[in-house]
Amino acid sequence: MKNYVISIGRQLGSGGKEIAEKLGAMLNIKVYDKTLLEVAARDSGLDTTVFEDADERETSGFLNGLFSIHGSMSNYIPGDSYMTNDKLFEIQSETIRELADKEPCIIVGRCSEYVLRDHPKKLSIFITADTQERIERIMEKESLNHEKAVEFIEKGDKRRRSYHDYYATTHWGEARSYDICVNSSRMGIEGTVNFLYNFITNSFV
Amino acid sequence: MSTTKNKKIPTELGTENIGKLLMQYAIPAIIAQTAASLYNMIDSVFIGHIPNVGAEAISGLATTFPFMNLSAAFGAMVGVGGATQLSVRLGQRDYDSAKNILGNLVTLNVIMGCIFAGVSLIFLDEILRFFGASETTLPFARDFMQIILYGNVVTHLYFGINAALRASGHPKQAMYATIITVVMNIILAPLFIYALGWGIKGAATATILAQCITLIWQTRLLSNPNELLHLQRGIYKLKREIVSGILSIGMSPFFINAAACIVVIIINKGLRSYSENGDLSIAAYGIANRIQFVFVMVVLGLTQGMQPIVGYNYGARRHDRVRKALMLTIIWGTAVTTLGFIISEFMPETVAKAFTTESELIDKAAWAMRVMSIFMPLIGFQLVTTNFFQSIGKVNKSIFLSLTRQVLLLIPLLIILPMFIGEEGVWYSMPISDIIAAMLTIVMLYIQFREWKRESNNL
Repeated sequence: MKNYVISIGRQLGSGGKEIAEKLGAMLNIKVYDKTLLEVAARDSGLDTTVFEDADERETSGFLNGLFSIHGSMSNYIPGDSYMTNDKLFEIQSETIRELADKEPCIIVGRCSEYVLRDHPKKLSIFITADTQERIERIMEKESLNHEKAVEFIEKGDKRRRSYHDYYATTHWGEARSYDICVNSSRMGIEGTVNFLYNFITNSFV
Repeated sequence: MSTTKNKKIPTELGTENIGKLLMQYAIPAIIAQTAASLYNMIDSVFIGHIPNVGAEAISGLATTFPFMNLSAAFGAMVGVGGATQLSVRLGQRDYDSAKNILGNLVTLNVIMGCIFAGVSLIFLDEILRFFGASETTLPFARDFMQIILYGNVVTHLYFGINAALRASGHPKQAMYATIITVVMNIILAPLFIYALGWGIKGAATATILAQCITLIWQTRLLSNPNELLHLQRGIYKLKREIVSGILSIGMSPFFINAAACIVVIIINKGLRSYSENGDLSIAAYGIANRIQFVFVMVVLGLTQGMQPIVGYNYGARRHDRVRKALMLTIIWGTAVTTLGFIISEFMPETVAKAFTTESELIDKAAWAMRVMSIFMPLIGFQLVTTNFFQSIGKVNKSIFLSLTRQVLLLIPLLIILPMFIGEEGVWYSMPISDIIAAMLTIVMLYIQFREWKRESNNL
């Protein structure tokens, strides 16, 4: 019997992280977000900062393209061991799969719904929220003014989308990429957590 | 398929002796790079020895080099873009998406190859004149280029499928393909050129035929149904998302290759307008440039071997090993270009004789090699350091440094210097750009080391 695993994608400021943590507490399972990077780093013998630098960053664009040329030209080398962002993503994906095999858990972001697409007991969730609410949440969390918060959200969404759509074949935040998409503004954080808790437990009965 | 093994980075990169690692990683890359650079030289060598064919044919051939660069630029756009996407998908064991990328890569190569060949054939004379051909050299360039363009689709497919082979876990077969093509070209070229008497057309035919045969072998390799990823029905229909993905990644390699093409055009045009004998100067540049290219390619192979070592140890915060790997590669890289320097300065006639039998051209090419190689030992250092910045993720610095030598400094120099000192200005632009770029590189490397020192003092 395989463990179940929950993948949660989220818009910036949608309360996704909080929801993931509360769900983890209710289900009594571990939640991996940034901590995932530490696990990946420990497994590969690399420094955590290397993974942080490549984490959910924009990957398209001219300069990154130039980087990838060398990556593909240099596959002459045995072991195919280039330290490109692509390689780091591969290591991180392997870590996600290993964690999901070991015990039930929640993985936040990092294309986990794509990485775990063949997992037999996977649920994927995407959490959005109303723009106004997201702005307010970011203003509070990052202590930014309204204008800066809007910019922060726009850039963050763009970054996450470009990262996701480069590494996954599905599309970030599109309904058909996930099992369920929820707007957390409708039921509030607590309401959404309870709703998703029921959704998860009913799915795995 | 070897991509399913080796998931994790080999930890030997963090422990094994640096010198040994560098040998192990660099030698296959150096072999592949040398084969690739020989590939570019074979035609020039054989054509240079056709009896009664003089500097005009060699000059005509030299004006086709930027043309080949441009064709390679379009090929690289599809090949590199497709291969990069392919390796990401294979890393995720997502074979369904991977096979569609492979199919789309093939289709795009065919389309791109046909369009490029079609447009080029229609405007062939105009393009060749723009690239520096004169009325005397044009017929030779046309003869050669026509056949190359008829086979353009084969060329694009050959490079595209080779990139796909590498990305799909067959780097050895991809290397064999390169070597086989070179060897076949060496066998076929004299047969067609001298024995059958096809002359310059024979050289082009040999090039295309060698690629054709290798392509058949590559296709057979990739059609093996036992492989998870293989050529099969239903994967060739273009999908908008895959195509836009391939092209957006392929844009940068396209521009790099296109920049190389533009620089050669500017040099050819400069030589044409300022030299008393433009055809002779262009032919001499073609020869000298090819010689320098061999040494540059060997150093690039060396840096490919350095990259995983530096990349891993930088990631593992082993700055001592990073520094050691860099220093060792700089020493080797400088040794290689110093050898090039010695050959170019002290025995250029001997080398030039490999490319031509005309005494006037031998003298000019030898003179050109002497001028172009004045600061050649520094090129090794410059190339290694540029790639070093790339392996530690400082991509912007790396691109800046590689553009300075070949584009940012060179192009203005090529335009301004000849206005004051004529033809010599074109030639001296190259070493001047080398030395300025090397100085910039030293400064940037010094700044980087100082930063690290400060960091480690703060710890």
